[in-house]
Amino acid sequence: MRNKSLVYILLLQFLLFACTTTSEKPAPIKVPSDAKQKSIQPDMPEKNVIVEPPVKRKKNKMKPVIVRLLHRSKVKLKAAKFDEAANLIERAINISPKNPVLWQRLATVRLAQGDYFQAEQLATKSNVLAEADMDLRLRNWEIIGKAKEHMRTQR
Amino acid sequence: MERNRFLLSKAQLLNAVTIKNKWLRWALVQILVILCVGSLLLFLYLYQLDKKVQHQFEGKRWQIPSRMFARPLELYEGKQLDYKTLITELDLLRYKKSRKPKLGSYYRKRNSVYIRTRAFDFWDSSSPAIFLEVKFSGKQIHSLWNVNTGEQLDLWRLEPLFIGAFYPKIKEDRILVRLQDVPQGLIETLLVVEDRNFYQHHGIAPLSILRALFANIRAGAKRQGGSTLTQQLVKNFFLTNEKTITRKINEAFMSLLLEWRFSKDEILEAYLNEIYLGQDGSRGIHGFGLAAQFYFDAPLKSLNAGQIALLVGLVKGASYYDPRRFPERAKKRRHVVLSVQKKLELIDAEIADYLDNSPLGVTKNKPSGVTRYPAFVDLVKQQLKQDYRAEDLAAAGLRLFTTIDPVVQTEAENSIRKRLPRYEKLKRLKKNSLQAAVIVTDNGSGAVRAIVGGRNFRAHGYNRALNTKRNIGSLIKPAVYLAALREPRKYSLNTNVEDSPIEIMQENGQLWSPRNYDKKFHGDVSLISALANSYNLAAVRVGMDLGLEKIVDTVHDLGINRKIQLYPSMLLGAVEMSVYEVLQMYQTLSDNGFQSPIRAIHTVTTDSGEILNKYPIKVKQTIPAESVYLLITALKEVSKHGTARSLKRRLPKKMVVAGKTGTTNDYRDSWFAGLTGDKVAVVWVGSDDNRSTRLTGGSGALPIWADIISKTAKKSVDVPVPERISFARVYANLHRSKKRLCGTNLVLPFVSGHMPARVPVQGCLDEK
Repeated sequence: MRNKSLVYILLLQFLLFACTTTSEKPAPIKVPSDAKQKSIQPDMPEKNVIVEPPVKRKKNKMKPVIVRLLHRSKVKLKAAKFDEAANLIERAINISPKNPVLWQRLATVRLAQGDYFQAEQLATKSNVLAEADMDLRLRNWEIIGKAKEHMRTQR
Repeated sequence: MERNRFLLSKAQLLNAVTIKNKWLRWALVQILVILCVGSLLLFLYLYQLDKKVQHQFEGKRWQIPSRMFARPLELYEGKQLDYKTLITELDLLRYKKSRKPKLGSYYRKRNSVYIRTRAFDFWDSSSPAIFLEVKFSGKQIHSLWNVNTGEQLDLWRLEPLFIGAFYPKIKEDRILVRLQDVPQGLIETLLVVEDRNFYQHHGIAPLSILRALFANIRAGAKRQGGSTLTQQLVKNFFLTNEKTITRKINEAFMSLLLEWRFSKDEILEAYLNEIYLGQDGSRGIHGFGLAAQFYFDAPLKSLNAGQIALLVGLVKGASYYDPRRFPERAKKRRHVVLSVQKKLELIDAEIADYLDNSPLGVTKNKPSGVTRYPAFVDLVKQQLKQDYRAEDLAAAGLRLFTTIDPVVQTEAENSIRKRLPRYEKLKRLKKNSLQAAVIVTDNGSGAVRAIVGGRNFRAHGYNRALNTKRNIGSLIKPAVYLAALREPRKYSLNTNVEDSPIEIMQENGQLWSPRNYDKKFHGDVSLISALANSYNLAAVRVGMDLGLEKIVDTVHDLGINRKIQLYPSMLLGAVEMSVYEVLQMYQTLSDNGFQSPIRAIHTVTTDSGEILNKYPIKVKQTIPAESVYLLITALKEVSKHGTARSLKRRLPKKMVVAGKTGTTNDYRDSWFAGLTGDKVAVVWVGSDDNRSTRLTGGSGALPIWADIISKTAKKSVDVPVPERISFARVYANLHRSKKRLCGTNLVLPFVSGHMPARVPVQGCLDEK
């Protein structure tokens, strides 16, 4: 009998403990409640303050139609048919507006066309959408660099 | 002596003649002068008239209209689409439900919809007619198949819906007809009733004028016009409705000039397209083509003799014989025309009698104008004007591929139709006193999917979505806080801001002391909470701390190009903006700080398919992505715990949105602006005379927004995390619990390098 109730108590405690904490770092430090935060000190934050982003954004697999459109636009781009390439990418963007690869491809087309300002802007947008995809970001920085260089020499 | 006398008499004679000559000469000279000057004046006058005739007439001759199309529905594997929505689109495109192998038909079998598509030339490629199978799996497209070849397709575009046509140079709607397309019966009847000698006279018919004059004198009143078709055309074209002698003279000369310059057929064709045949509010119905549509909702060539007789009868007085307002008069007039037709054997006597006894056949409701979506077309025309000169547009037969989504448009109209009468009843307002305006766009591209300019959807009239500028109230607050969040050294989401009394000395010497809606002071609240609960005093304090210029800069960066006055009251939205402008601001927010101009047109091609102009996707980053990320986080709270929390029960369960309510002084304007993962929409509800509606942003505009979004948006707000954002668990007071502001530990985003150093405990604060 006693063992059973002990088990229950332990279980209850465990449940309570589980409910009040998360899988993240330990509970925050207690400080006076009237601490004003009118200006934040720009010093290094304490380790137990930084947490992982609350919701991991779903990395959707590219729809087959997008893959196809990207491929077709690549063919057009290689053949220097820039407007046709752009049309295909825009059609793809209409379907998947948040896909960073599409915005990068459009930036590439604009770069090839000599629209350096848009190339830079579109690559920047791709970067924002790319989040932690380092390969994509590197390629975007390349495009941005080239665009900036051209704009510099144009002046 | 005789010779002298003779000479003398001769001289005397000469003298006499000379004197006479002198007078005569003088008289002759005077007459000559008058004649010369008179001729000169007459010549100048006629020259002027002639120029006028040429200019007016040339400009309005036969033109081919520009045709507008809605966005094509794209079908692809994995698309979230309900089969019912697909069928709605097919019905709009006038596809018939049928299993027979006919172009433009469809049928449903188990999980698939089978469509025999029509061919269509898009701006970038041509789609042939195929037998398409769209297989569904729940509310998603599972696969696409070409039934005849067995090939699986990954993408297919349905033909776009034709939404209307217009003549770029003419401001009003017309349905222009060519002479050869007009039913012969109409021409014959017209000539016989109005101007029998049309092909013989030279513009004016003096005999018929005399005849009319006599008839009028005998009758003692004006009975007959005596005007030829040419004179009537001149009347229609140029002059106002005066009845003076000068007018009559001008008219006569202009008619002669017209006849001299143009052929009979050209004049007749112009007449058929210009003659005034009715009124629809502020829109005049000119021309038989438009009149056929206006009265019978049918194309001109399909009209029967009775309908033709009615229209011809209207020439005499379109308002007096209006078949909808005065059906008895219209019937009598039709009878007169039918009698003439019968007498001259243009139609069989039996048919004439039959038609005489049949109803007028006029549709009860006035059909929509030449376009079903006049509010949207307003924006199309506006954007065309910006990029094209009138001469370019006059090029024959442009094809305009627009961005409108008829499904979204329908949902917007349905919601307004449903809600406004309910509001009027609830708030005991006069019937039809409330108005609304809506614009819906796509998140990533700025493509306009729907515009509603007022509750009378089909009317051409004042477009409130584009033109009504009202105070935006709390809708400005996101801009204020965005400006704050652009300075991470001073402001973060959990920075405490003071919601306490403030007095500001304005430029005019008056003291301004704003209040909160609930007349309370909330003390220190976190920035995120101040925005979620729309506290006025906190917003004013933050704005004054940053400086008004910084707020205006942010508003400009969001896409507003106008000058904004730097008054403190601007911080509470004493800035007038249209729905269009507000939408531009929220569009930039939805796109991580990238401005992309809202566009209604996608591509313009010539009639033969050559691309004239594309409106490509263009972006420009004007606000750092991390600042926007922080602001969107705050806006999400508005609908979770703040002034828009009623959205939770109106939207699909897991949908997360970011938006802001707005209510102006005395409840004159009710606003809601918000975004999801795929759509941005702004709704305004108010009254044209700026009276109080007793509706708040939450009770007026918000339900309409929710109606539209719940039916058309498919994705929750899903902002990518910018590079310079990190997360921390902090304390922020977020909700009210029994007169106390209670905070909670939250994970909030911060700009890296400006993280909070310490984390206070959770708890509740008493409100001051």
